[in-house]
Amino acid sequence: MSTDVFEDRILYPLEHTSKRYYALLVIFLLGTVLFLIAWAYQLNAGVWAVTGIGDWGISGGVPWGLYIGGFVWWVGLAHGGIAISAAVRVIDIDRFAPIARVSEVLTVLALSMAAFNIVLSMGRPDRIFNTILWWPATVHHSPLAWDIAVITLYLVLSLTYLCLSLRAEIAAFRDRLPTVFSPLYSVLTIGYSRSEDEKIEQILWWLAVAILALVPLLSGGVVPWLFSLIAAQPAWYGSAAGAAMLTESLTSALAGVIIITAIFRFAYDWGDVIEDRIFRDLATVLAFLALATIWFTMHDILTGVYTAPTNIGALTGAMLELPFFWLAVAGLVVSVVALFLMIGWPDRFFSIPALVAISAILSVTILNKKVMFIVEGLMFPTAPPLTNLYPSGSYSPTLLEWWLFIGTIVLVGLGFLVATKVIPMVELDPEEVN
Amino acid sequence: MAHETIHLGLYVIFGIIMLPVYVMILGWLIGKPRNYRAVAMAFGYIVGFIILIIAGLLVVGLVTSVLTPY
Repeated sequence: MSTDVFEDRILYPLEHTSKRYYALLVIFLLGTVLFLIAWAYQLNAGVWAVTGIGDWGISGGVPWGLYIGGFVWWVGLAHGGIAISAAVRVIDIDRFAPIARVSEVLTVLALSMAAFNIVLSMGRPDRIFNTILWWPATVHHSPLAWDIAVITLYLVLSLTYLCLSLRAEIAAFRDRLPTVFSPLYSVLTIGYSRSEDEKIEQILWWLAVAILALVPLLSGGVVPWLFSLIAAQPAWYGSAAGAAMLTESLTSALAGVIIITAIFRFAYDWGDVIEDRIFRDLATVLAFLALATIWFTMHDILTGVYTAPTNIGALTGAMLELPFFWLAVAGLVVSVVALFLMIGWPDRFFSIPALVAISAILSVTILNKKVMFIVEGLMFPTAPPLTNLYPSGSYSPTLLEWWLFIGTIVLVGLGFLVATKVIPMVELDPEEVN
Repeated sequence: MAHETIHLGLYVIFGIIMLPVYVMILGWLIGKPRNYRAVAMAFGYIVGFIILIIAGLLVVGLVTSVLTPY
């Protein structure tokens, strides 16, 4: 494909808008309105009234549920997206270059939704602001202070990475971009000169290094530590949680990237831009990550059923009687078998729709596992004061919680629909401009 | 809650978690090509986004505090 044709293909969504796009936009805007209605309802009634999520202060019960599960899930998704893009830059894996931009945008949107899930779980958004205001005091004992710190850190780095990488591109193709967003482009390219290109590349390289190094420190560090350092919750406590959670997060992240890139490929007929072999490579990595997730699950169960301490035994026993747990196991096993069939016999088994279906199954499975992990850990507290606070807790997500959680997925869809019309979704080479 | 001592968590955050960021900033400043204007701009983006996020939270928090009955 000649460079000009390639540019035309990538800029096409920015220069033309189809009826199908508007139809999708309307659907997602309606979804957003429904989300806002549900959120307003929760804000007015109070979290406890509409979800039954208790708190450790007065009402007992299980204080974390689907929202915090959703938070962990979104964070995991976010860390994989930009990691692919950073790997393209640092390790020179040029074959993934066509999906780098989509992955970056996914990271920014997913992180925003991770933060939003915390807002949903806390109830009032102004409490988050208080946590920031009192950060030097709250950081000593509040998991949320850590959450806010690392999400802000990662979001700021991701946004900076995305914006810096866009500068040269937008300056070069400015005359072909929609005039309606001119003010935004002016802000993005403020003070741009071609002499900065080389240094910006170097700045981006270091940013990518930092982002890659932060993936195990955050998805395999701070986020698991919010749980695994608390000795009172038997299912959480332990040093293996970091490695297990990082594996799960990367699994759901890769699944997310596959789904989003497949949608873009289908929507704009980019089969020659985002080629089959990219999906095959992703499928191979996904297969081994999902296999590792099974391996960690096996460790959890064996530790829990073989002469475990009382609470861990009780918890694992309860887990094994839970249909959700077996649903997760089935999701993992079916996915791994299907993925290895795809790798081994691509001619017979590999197809992008099938890969997207498996990715969707894996995404839902990981979400299910995260929510189970959080709730089960809270149902069997080991040590006072937690044991005195709620001797027995039970939890199942209400319709409203599902509504709000699915609303965050709708918001990400809306974000992508908007981004498609504002920036090129595949990186273009500014040097190629005639 | 007052805390007299510096907690382990602070060492973890500023000593370990932030290490990649320190290395990145060093790389920006020391690495070739030298161009402090571009580095200043990258810092500008970072500071700008931090302000944007906190200001956004403040606005959303204030609006909801006004709208909710509590």
